[in-house]
Amino acid sequence: MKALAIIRTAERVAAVSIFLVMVALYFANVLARQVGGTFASEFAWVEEAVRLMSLFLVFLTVGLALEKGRHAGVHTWRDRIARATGLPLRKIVDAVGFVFCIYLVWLGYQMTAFVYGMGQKSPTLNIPVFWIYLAPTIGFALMALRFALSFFGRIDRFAGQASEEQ
Amino acid sequence: MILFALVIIVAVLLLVLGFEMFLVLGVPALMIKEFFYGNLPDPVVIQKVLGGINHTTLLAIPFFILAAELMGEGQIARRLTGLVKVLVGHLRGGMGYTTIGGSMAFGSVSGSAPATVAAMARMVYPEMRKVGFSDKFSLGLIVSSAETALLIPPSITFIIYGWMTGTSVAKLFVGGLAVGLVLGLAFAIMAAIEARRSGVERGPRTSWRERLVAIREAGWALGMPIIILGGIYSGYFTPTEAAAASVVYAIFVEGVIFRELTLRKLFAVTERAAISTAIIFVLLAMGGLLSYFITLAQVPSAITAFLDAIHAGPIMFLLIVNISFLIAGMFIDPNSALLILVPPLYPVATALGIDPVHFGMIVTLNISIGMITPPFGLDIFVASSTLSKPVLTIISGLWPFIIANLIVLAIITYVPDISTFLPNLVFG
Repeated sequence: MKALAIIRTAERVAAVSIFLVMVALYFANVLARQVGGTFASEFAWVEEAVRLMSLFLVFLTVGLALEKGRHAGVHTWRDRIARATGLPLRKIVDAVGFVFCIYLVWLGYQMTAFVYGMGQKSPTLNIPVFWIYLAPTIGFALMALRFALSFFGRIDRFAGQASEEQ
Repeated sequence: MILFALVIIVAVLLLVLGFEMFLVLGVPALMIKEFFYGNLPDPVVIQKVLGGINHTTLLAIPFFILAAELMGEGQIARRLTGLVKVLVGHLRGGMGYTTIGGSMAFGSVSGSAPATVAAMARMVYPEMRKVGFSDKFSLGLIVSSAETALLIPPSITFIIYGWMTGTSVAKLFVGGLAVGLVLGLAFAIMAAIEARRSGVERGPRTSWRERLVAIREAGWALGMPIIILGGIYSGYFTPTEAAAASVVYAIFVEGVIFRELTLRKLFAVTERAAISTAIIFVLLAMGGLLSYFITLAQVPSAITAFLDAIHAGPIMFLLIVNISFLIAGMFIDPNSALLILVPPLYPVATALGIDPVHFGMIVTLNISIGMITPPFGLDIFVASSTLSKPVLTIISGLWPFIIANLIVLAIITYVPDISTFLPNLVFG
């Protein structure tokens, strides 16, 4: 599980750094507008950069949110239905979640590879467009990892949700 | 038709069985694609998922969440509430007004109702009980006052609605201010009646000296609503820029002026805000996918045709809107309710000549009522865990407020001017 701990630390540090840099850049952009003129127009790339960073912020954190059981959902009946029917519902949720995420990783990978091959560049930031598609590909992979670990009982992602039950 | 029924059944099953909401939205969307639009190229899915979140307006959400977390953790929220208390605390029922005003003040710097419940409950519950408000009434008032956080700008719900429908977020913010005030007024009337009925004591009168001290203490905190509201309404900031500025201001005030924000705390708070952001955005991403198929399947025009067939006008339509949002709000989270119901209903509303800002107010008020409505109103559970009170006690205290809410909802629904008067005044 050491690998997971490393991934988790990487996700946390990346998310926090990206988030704070986004704030700084966006705010600097507003300040630059005060100066105006050509100085302000040199900051035109900020908006696109911050948007791209927000994609990475989101998709580098979705796995953490899943591991902590924080994603929205109606968890009230799940364990009661599982007890009543004897179905391993938590495992079913994990399995479906895993397949769904892997499918999106596959689509994301295709899209990333295709756009990478085209070599298209973004208009103001002038970086390759494939970065945009890489973010969800990574994000769904990080979630697939959590679904799989939970399926095999290596992490308890339901602990936080049990307290919602009444 | 059978396939369509299958999609609906799967969606309901996933919801009831406790699947994550992004799966509840995403799996049926993929099914619709496979069943009905199999010839669409697969990469469309990724494009629509990204289209759901890759937008400048939406950047306001992470920024406002981070600012709210910083202020809730620190001093700004507490000082704003303290100011409200010295101004109205001495009146009969003053602690009730403090709860309402404090929630609105907290709402004016954050945009989250559960965060408002959590922050306010600890601060005002003991004091409400001390002056003689009943347990039930205190709990009911604390939970329902937090609703105003969704209406008083900045409101994440309005940002999402504005982005989904192309409505000006700034206009929605102004409209929300008016509707939030109406709701606060309704609760204040209830607090006044309750205070008289059960003989609640007056709080000690605060001297002008104490008030000046509170105003001075709240000085830096007051800068926050000024930056957000003043900045947006004067046209100086876009909502997204105001959101970024509010984070910088919160870090500056909590870190440099109040000296309470350490680097370790900043890391923890930012991480929490990042996770809250991810939870909302993964829903938006799946919502982007789902709403694409809702539009493609021409669901809105089917609804319009149905309304024509039963000769339903705007009044009937708005009743249907209210009922569907109320039911959705009882079960699912506010953002999912928006993502599922707005794409099919909004085009119908515009076709019937309903003002987009007015429709936004109705939708958001419905969602806030959903947050306090049993069985699943999120705020009920937040209050329950914050104050260690049984859920059933809170629910029994909430009923009068839910009825008051429904009356306000009827007024807002059928008197459009309340929602549109201020936005039209400010923005012409």
